[in-house]
Amino acid sequence: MGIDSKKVYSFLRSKAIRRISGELFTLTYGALVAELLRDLESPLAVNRQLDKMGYNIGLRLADDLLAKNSQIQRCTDMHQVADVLAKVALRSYLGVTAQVSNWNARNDEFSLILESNPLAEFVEVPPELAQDLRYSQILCGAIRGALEMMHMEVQTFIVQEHSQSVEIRVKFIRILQESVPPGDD
Amino acid sequence: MNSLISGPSFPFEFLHAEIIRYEKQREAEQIEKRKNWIEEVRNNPQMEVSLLDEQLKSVKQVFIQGNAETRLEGLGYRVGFVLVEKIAKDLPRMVTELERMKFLCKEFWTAVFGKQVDNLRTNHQGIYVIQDNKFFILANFAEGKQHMEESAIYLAFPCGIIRGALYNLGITSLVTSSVESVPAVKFHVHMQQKS
Repeated sequence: MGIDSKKVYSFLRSKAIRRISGELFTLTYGALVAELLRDLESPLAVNRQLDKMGYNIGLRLADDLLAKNSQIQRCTDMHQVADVLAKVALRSYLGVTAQVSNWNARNDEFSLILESNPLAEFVEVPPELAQDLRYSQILCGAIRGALEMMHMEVQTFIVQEHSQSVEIRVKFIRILQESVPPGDD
Repeated sequence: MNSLISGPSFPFEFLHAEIIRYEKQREAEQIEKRKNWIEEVRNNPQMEVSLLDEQLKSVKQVFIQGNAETRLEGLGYRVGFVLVEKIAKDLPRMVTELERMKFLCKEFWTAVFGKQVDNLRTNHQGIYVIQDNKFFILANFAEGKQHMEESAIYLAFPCGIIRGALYNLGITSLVTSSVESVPAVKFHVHMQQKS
């Protein structure tokens, strides 16, 4: 009995560590959004600020992703880009995988669907804000920033966001030329 | 366990850096606003009352909200307050102050910051010093003394986390940090008397 409960305890703790270090991130993000809402007083301005922060993060995250996942090869079409985003990038940084769907006819536009959104784990967006506030906008910014580091200009936006799932639309615009340095703004 | 922590802690560090950048920028804007306002008041000493009333709102905003570090600490407080509940909910009740501090240094620290603290000292009169020889936020900084000044603002948020956690355990405290050599950090916890 004594040994068993000890085992259970240490098992629970090892589980708890994994979950909680992510919780630090989730809670910090939540506190940030709340503070931005207080500061900027307009959900649209908050979306913009979150997008900007995500973009800055994405610029640096791209380096990290390629450094740690040497199996990623150069992507030659958007299907491969979508695969890397959904299966590798989101898994290594948020611990979830996304589904890729809703390709358009020209194959340059797709949706990433996150069934469980770790950012919104403990969040309930009040109804008066739900219309305008894009709680997970930072993800859009991060994807845009990361792809810009790979010389791909994309448009990203959140199509719909429910309490636990979020659909992000990614649209390819053009390939950036080598000579254009990515702005760090 | 290492991979568990170093993996997910990465996005947090980036997010944290962005928050700091935002707060710094905001502080600079606030200082600018305040300057402009003072300038304006100086230039027309007999301002109309209606104009003053109009400005009062923005003036309050500028003066009430503190500087970047205070605001970061406040953010951390919120986070720590919630986090500690999640970590402590299945543990037996902690009775003494020392027990709570030990919980903070072991379970809480491991769960949140990825490792135990390296040293906990107290003078038994309400002052505790928690030492972490490789604090995770500073782990990526160049070691030594060259970035000591910049490191201060990176510790405001963790200080808030600690204060929030202790507050939710029933301890009202003041938490400050000091760095003698990156990445070793000392957190000083001053207990406040409950009134």
